[in-house]
Amino acid sequence: MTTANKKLISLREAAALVPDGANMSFSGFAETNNPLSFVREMIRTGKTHLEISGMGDAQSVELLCGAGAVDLVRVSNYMAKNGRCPNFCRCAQQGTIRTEDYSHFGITNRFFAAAMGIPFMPVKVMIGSDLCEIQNFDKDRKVMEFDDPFSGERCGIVPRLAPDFAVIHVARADAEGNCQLYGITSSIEIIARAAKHVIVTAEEIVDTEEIRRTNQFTILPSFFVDYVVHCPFGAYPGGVFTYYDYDLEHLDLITRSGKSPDTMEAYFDEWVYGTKDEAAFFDKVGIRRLMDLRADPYSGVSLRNRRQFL
Amino acid sequence: MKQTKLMTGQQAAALISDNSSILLFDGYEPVSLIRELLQQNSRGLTLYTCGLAFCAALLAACGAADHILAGCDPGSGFIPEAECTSGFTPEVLCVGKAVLKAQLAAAVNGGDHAAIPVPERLLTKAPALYREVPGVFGAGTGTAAAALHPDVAILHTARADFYGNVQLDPSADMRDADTLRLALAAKTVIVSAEQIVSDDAIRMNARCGLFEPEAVACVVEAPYGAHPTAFATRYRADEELLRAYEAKEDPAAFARQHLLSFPDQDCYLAGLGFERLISLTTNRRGEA
Repeated sequence: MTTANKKLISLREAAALVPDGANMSFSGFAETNNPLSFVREMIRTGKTHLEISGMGDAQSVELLCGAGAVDLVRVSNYMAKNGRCPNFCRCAQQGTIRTEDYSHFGITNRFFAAAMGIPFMPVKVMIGSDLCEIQNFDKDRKVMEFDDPFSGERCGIVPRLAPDFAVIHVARADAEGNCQLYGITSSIEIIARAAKHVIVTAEEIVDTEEIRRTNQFTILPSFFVDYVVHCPFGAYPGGVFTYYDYDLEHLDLITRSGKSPDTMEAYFDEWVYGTKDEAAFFDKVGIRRLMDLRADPYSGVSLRNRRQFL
Repeated sequence: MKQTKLMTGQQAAALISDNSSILLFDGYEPVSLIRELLQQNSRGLTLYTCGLAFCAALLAACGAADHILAGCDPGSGFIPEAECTSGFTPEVLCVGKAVLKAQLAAAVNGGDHAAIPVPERLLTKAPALYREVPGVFGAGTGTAAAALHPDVAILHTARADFYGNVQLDPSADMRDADTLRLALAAKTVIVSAEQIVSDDAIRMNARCGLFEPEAVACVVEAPYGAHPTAFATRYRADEELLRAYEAKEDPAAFARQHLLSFPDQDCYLAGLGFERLISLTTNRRGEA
């Protein structure tokens, strides 16, 4: 654990903390709250052999698979706005990554057990399905059927899962690591509490006093957080509720590029390796584009993106 | 069917003709629209500045303004130091904020003058605007300042919807609203806004309202539209650029190079770059 005044670090410093082969988890569900600035920086710095356990963190895993950075994924239904995740699917089909299928709630309960400091959690999901029957690298450590000792009902239990690193994207954080997020938070708090080390990327860094004043939005207190990174538009091309909407065009570009390794490499050459840092990346995206994606204060999504701009 | 009042900066600036009188407010500086105005080579403007308006200085430096009635003290801020120097263009008359606001308030309220103490120098320098008058209720005399009816008020705000409802941010100091509503003294009100929002968003923050659609000729979306000045609820001033501007012997040349060499606001922001804009930003959404 670090002291408060050393928690606020640069994106480059934060990415350097993650070693090759790290066991990781990312925030985000579908197109929201994925820490994609962090993921791009991991790709720029050539991370490899990652083991990822995720709950719907498709955008992060899709990019990392495209970059050949992943060896193993505990997956719960990776889908993108515009269909399947082609990089992830290709890697799984060609066997360049190993996968273990979970339901969303099943893997969330594995994180939940670790977050609570208990060895396993009882569940009523996955059992009776192939998610239970087919066990790969988590064989005998995935889900086990048993009879509820109180009612006799058939149940399952899933063991705790504590990633080495969780990278969590939030709306606001202070320099001590108190974090706030608006709207649906998915399993962010649970993943962060389960992980051994937590790196937070935040749209805005605010004073602690501001966190105290609006404490109803706080999802993680500082003692769960090791490092904080200021990452404006850090979930782009995904979105952050009340900040900006997802960029469907750019998401579509990634999906189209992911159809073959060559086109994906071309995407990385242009957008990731071709931009020295995130500031350069966003200059390439264009300030106008980013401004157009800003969320309407009422709906929390972009008027232009949802074609409500007159 | 409600009518949209959304325009481009270019279209809005085209509404302002040469020799117009323009009302400006410090802290709500419509720099992006003023840049458009200068791109259109406007000339002969008379400026009323409620405070130390950077836009007034910019228009003056670029030769677009002939007269400035400044609602500030002589020599303060961006207003040229020499007040009413003979033969100096633009001619600057510093009347103080209270007097200028009283003159605008008189116009808003439908009067032809405001009864307000006026510095003696103004009585001789601008007798068309400032006069000694007999007391109405008591003995003796007082002073009166003529109501001001600018042709156009231009201001930069936080939010507007398509129809011309204009608001400050929820985090704004609403005490500024009373001053900003003096824009209603003008025959035409042109607004640039950090963000065009839905009418639902306007209703959600009704207490932040400044103008209703009837009062507004058009709205222009201009993110970072007050740069290089500050917009209190969203970003701080670009001190580096402002200091460089003030330090230059030829501010017009500096403005041409650093402010006016971009065809529109999008290109201007692209020229500043993501990192610089984010470094100035204090509150992305203006939320409280």
